[in-house]
Amino acid sequence: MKPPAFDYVRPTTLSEALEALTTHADAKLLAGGQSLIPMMNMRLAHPATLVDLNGLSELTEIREDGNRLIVGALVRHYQLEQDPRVRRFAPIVAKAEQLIAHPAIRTR
Amino acid sequence: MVVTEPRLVGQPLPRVEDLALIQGQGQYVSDVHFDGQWAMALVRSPHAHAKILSIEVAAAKELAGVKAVITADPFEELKRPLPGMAPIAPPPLAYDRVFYVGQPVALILADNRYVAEDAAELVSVQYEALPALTDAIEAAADTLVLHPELGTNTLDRVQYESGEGKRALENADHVIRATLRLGRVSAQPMEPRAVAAHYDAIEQQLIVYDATQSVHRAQERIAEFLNMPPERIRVIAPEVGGGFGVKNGTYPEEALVVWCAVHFNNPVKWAGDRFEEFLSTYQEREQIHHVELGVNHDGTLVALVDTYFQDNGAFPGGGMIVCRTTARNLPGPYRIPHLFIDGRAVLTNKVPQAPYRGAGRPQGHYIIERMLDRAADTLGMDRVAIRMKNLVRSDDLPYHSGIPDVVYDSGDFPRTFQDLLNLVDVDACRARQREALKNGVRLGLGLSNYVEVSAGFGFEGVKIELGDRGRIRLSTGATGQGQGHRTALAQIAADALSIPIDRIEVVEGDTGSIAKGIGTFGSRTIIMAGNATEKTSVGLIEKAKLAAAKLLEAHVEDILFEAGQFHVKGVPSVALDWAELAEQWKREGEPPLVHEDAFGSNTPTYGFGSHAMIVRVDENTAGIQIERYVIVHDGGSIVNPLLANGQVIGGTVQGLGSALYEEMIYNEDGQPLTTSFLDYRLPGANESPDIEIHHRDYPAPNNPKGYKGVGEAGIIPSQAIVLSAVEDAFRDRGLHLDFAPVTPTRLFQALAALKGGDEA
Repeated sequence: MKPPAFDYVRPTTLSEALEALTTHADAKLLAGGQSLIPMMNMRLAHPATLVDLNGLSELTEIREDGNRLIVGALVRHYQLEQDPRVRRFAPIVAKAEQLIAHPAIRTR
Repeated sequence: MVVTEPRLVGQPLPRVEDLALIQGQGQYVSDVHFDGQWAMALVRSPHAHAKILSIEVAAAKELAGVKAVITADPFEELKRPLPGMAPIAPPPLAYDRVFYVGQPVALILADNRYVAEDAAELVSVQYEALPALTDAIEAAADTLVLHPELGTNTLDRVQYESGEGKRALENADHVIRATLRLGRVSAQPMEPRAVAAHYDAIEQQLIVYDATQSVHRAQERIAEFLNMPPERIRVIAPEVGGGFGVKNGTYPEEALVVWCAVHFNNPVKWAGDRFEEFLSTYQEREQIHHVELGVNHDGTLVALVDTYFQDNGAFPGGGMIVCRTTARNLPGPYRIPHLFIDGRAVLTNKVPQAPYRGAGRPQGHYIIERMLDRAADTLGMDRVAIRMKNLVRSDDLPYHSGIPDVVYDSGDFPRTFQDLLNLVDVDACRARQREALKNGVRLGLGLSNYVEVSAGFGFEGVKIELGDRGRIRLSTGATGQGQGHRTALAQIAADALSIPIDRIEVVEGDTGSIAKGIGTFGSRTIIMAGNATEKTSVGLIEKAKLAAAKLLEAHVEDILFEAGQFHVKGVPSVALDWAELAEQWKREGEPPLVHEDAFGSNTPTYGFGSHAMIVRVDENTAGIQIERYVIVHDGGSIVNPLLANGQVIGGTVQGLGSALYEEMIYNEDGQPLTTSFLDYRLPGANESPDIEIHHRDYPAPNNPKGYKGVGEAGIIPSQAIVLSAVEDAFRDRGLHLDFAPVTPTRLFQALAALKGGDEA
């Protein structure tokens, strides 16, 4: 259960990430790795390149926009569970998050 | 004046092992790193049954970092059958045919495991698939014989008859018939199997670190396979992260690691991963029983007739004991005057079986306990009453169960069962159950009795050395995997030698520390090594008296040992404690005092007990929750109640897995479909109930210290009691369950079948 060798890039902006996806053949996005890494360890997935999204600070934000709440794609389950704005805007989301896996996984 | 030391045996001392383990300081085989060590990975068969046409390794050999790619050709010694697995054993690498998915076909040695796994993917094996046997009854028909040299797929047949056997059924008022099944389970110790070996060509010694339950058996196997004298092989089991029986047998990987280490004169390590643990570590439990129970109107048992088939997988694996132990456990703690038992261990194309915690005890009890429930239901009798009526009574003891050499010798089964009934308050339970049902809540009460037959063969060795400053080093052939032997054996030695426990170091799992031993399995260690500790301590005291006589210039018969001190009779003021004795003896130029002995016994011990559980079942989801679990448990004289409770609780929870969640599923081609924890569910903290344990400590009459086994007590009744409790929740509907585990899917299907055509 060791993954095959792969290339690794860590873009810091969304446009760099999009570019990495086009310049690297057979690239996969790495966010929390909770599914992709086990798939690679079991050699069920063989991506040539992993594009690590965790340098993209622009996707990690939760912000209010008028009567809307914008949640970035890299926001962790744990943040959704804890953030007071989520509780205010969509209390059911915060409640549901408590039932997703366990705290250690929710922070990944 | 003689000061009586407070006895440590019987005290719930915290484990001496724990400080290092909880700090992550425990050293396992995975932590062994020899200089220049190569990692081993295996190419395993993807077929359950196939002929090997060709193996192409060139591409794998060329990969950077690969040291060697080995197939059985051209090495004749790799084509020999593995040792310790009669009457049919595979070669460590298959070269002609493969018999189960996961069987090793080739091996890679590389700089590290990453490269080794890359290379394993580059090995190309051409197979011709053959029909696979996945059903034990079909396999027993011998339409297709897997190993022509055996002539049959029936590996072992167990037949016992007592009283009038089958004929007695004719005299019973009722004969209850049922077909009962148990699914296949995988032990899944937290640490997968692992072996590391280094051959010292100058010393001509092979050092093997092995995650095994028996270093001495491993030493014998390795000696035989390599054709090397055992004294040139040292096997060390460092910390072992759980064994449960499946780390005790012959495995191809052990033979391959040691062979490679010698052949290449280079250290080699294989640390199995979780996937390999599912694919290649031996499994257990899978049986199908056709049972007939003869019973009279008043509930008196007349006869038990059982024909059963055990799916043994492709090879004997860990031996043939499980099928036999099943038979020995079929009567349970009940009086059954007539028995007819016909069991077969049958070869199929699955992972071989090996004794897994319980090893036939759960299967035997599952059958008798489930049949008692059926009989009670048929007679309109209470499930409690039928048990109480047939339990072996204390005035029956010693009671011969009807199986050769099974003689219950101690305790009071009906009284223990009654204690459990009182603790649970069955009447109140029944009332609560009726009340709950009015509100649509289904509660069920499960009850089960058991006997835990432990040890009963061989010996265990102990060596005790008196070191500087009176330190004691106790070595044993027992090889723990987390049981806490280093605490328990130290407690026994501390009492026997009248010495503070912190002066005692227990060393287990090292053939370099003690020449002879058997190992830890079958709940034998406290019985065997515990008594051996006592016996060896007495021997050491005798040697110490001789030394004291010389030092004190007295006759040895005048030397007294009292309260940890040696003195001459009548002169207690001039006394030597262990530390002074060791110092003065050394100053005389004498070698350290050491004594080695063993305790042997062919008489098993018979612990017993009663379990009760209350379940709450959600009719809509078929989800099963455990509300309460109560155990009244006899484990003989208890050395450390904390450790004994740990064994009972651990066994119970592990049993709940095989009763509710765990099942290795194979498709009709013999492909295992449950090869990760995503598909094979173990009970976790959420699923584990609080378990109440009440001790009834009846000393074993047949060993000096009165010890009995405790390691399997918890797991024995688990499948019987869970199915019983769930059935009880649907008593009004006449639910009958005949397959363990009762997963939510199976329960849902059984409930749907009861409804018949009511629901579209």
